[in-house]
Amino acid sequence: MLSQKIISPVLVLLALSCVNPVLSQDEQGAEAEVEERYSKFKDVKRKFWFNTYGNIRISKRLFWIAQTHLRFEETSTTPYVGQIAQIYNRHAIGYIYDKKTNFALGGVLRLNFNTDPDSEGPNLLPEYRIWHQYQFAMPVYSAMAYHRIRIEHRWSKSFGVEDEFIFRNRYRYMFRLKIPLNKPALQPGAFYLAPESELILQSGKQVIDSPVEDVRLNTTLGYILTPRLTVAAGFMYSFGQTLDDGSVYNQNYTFRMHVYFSPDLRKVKNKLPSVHFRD
Amino acid sequence: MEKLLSKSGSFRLPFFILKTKRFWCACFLVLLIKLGFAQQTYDGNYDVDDFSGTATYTYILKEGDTLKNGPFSFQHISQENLDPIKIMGEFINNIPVGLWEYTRGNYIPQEEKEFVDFSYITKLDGVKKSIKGNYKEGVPDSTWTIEVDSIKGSKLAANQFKSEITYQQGIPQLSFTVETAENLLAGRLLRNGHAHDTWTLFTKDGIDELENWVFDNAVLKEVRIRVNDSVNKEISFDLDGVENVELINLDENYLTIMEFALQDRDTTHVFDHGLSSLLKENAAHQHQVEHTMAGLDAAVKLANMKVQVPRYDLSRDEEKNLDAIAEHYQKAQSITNTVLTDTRLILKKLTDQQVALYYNAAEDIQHKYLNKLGKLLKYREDKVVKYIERDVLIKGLWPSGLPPRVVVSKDTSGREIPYPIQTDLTYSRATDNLQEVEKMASFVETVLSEIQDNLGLSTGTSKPQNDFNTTEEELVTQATQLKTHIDSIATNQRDDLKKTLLALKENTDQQLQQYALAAQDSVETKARKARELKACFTQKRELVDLLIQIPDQQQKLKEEYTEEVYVIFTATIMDEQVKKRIINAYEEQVLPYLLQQVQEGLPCSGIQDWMTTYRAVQDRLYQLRNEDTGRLERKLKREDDPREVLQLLGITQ
Repeated sequence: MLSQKIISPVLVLLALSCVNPVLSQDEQGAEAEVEERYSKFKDVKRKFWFNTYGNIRISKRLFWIAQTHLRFEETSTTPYVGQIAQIYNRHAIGYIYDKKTNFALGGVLRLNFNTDPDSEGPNLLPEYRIWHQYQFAMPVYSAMAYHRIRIEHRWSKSFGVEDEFIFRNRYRYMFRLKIPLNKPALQPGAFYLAPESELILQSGKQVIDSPVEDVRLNTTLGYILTPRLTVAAGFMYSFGQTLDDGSVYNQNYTFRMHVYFSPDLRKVKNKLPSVHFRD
Repeated sequence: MEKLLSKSGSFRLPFFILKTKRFWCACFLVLLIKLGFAQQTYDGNYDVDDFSGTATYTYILKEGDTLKNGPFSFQHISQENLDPIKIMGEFINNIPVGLWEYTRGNYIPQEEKEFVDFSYITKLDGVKKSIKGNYKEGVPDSTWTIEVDSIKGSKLAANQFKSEITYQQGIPQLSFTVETAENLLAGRLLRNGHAHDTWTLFTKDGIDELENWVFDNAVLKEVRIRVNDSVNKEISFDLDGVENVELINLDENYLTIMEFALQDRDTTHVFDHGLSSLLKENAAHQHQVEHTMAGLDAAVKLANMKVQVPRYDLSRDEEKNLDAIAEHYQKAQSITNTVLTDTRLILKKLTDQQVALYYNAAEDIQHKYLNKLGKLLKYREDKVVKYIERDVLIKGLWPSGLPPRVVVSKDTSGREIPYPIQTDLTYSRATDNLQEVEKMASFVETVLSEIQDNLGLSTGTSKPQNDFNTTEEELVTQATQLKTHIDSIATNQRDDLKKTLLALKENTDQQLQQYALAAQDSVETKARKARELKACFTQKRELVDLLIQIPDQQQKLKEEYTEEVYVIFTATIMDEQVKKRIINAYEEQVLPYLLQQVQEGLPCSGIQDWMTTYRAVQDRLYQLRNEDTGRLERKLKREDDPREVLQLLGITQ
């Protein structure tokens, strides 16, 4: 009975707040202004990425992240693989905190190719980044779930003749599952399905109304050949605001192929015991 | 009385009484009775259930009988004994009372010994059974628990079986549970021990109901079985219209009766597995306690949940039929036992066509007729027959009618030939009464008598014995045991090992045949050959035991060559096989090559060498695990000749 006494006035207040005439008028005014601006989605660009991911174990807790990505995109005549768009080199030193947690800090050198046939700008521009990452894994039944937070500090330049290097920060959160399909766990011989979604936000002087740089929705089918080698392929749909105009969105369809390798450069005697980090 | 009291009021015996004879006689009698009832202790050798051990108990002598009175304990434990038994309880005047505990074990020592505190310790694997409960004035009372646990490395590994049943004044009642590693049975009994309500078999997680048996005051009304997620099978029973019914104990006999009653309607043999098997196992454990207690002269009844079954009394003719069947069966079985275990015949049948004809005919008769007749008589012995309609019983035992009146024999080479039946006795195959079964039993006995006469045997006649014959007999027994052993283990082995084991068996037959063929040799030569073969069979037995260990040893070796790898990409640990080429070379080349040698027929002299080679390979593989093997692995990659592989591994054969 007491709870009824409390809940009833709250509900009444809530109902009143919804019909506040003053607020409604303000909103109507704002809507009238916004009506002239609609978001626009550009035509879908089709891409193909071939990515290699290396996690090279160098000591009990440290590993060297070495990633090379070849990114292609369509031309007017060839879909997906018409021209090279970027070559991507990502390196870092990772730290294994425990079996489920690792961190990394490193740099990126990205080579951006000018893919616009009408552009007067240079053919090739470098882009530099410093990045750090925090990854947390958790078992869910036979699958594994991963939360990845990645922060990047980025110096990049557009292909305009007048353009200068600009500095931006990127804040990325990715949630990913790896679900073994034919085995009780992620183990050699297992096919797995990996649905993932990532939100990439950005900030910086030039970022005015386009904080959502990219939203990536991706599903991959992988196969674990050995604990040291995995291959995977998937398809991604992504969209995000363009830097110049937040109301204009890019859209991409991307086929992605991945090779994951993880050699162990330690001497045999240092490898054991390799799994007991916090025990 | 006043005279006997002194002034002070105390009792004083008048002196004259001490002088009377009657007084002294009375004293003597009292002393005798006292001595007779005095509690005495026994601490010494004692037998329980055919097991010798030591027992400690107190007892009194009463009218020449020994009555156990006080704590009782029995132990069948020694250092060499791997089947220990321990019983502890208490008697009052030979009646069990208070808490009783029956523990039995069945263990196998582990191969490796462990060094602990300056001594080597052998750990045990096996099964431990423990039954615990109270008796009140000789009948079970309160909760009785039966537990079977598996033991691994001398530690409790898992529970395999557990039942809990509550008794009150000897009658099981309330709800009870029986569980195994996979399933759980929950049932209910009325105060009079009658099965009642729904008994359910669950999966261990308690989610799925696999079987439901619905009882109504001791009558099983319905069985519902889950075939798969969407299909359930329902079978109903009805005792309406049955003239006579009887309450019996729910044990394996009840399940046999129900299985017979159901055979026409159901082919899944409900009473052969699932809920039934749990009840059967429980009853078997209870019977064991009953048997043990009967051996201690203190009969008890534990398996007495009550169920109702129809009764079809045996007519006088049917009793007569069964008596006659039993008589024919006993005579026939006695002849086949004589024939089939005669070592001279076993050897002779390998070379002599006539002996082969008779011997193999006797074997066919054993399988075709006698086994089922034996089963029928076992049902009679268990008092099951009167609860099954006769036509149903006969149909259950011989679903497609009685076996045809044809005896199939084999010649010395194992080719099937018909045995010429001499007797005119006949029987009708299609029958629903015991009369024809009796005729068949008579026919079987007559045919076996013919065989016995033709072989010149008579049951119970002693065979001429001398040292050589004893050796020969031992040889045949050894060969039979070896073959039986191979038969019993080969079926569960993987294909390559099965093939190897069966080849060993066939080779044993050939060796016996060759030995039998050497009949013309002198007694000395035969005796020498017999001794050699005996030694050979002993080694073969060792080889068989080694062969069946191969899968386990392979698994251990694989584990040795497996490493745990932490994979950062998945944040999981995966098993990785290391030095794959070495293990592959062993599994794909060396082992098949070695097994092939056995399949092709190892000479007796080669068995020991073969086992040495096998063990050397194993040892070498364990060594290589921790050695730098890069070069060896490269060489192994190019090599596909198993002999070369063996050489590369450093093994000389």
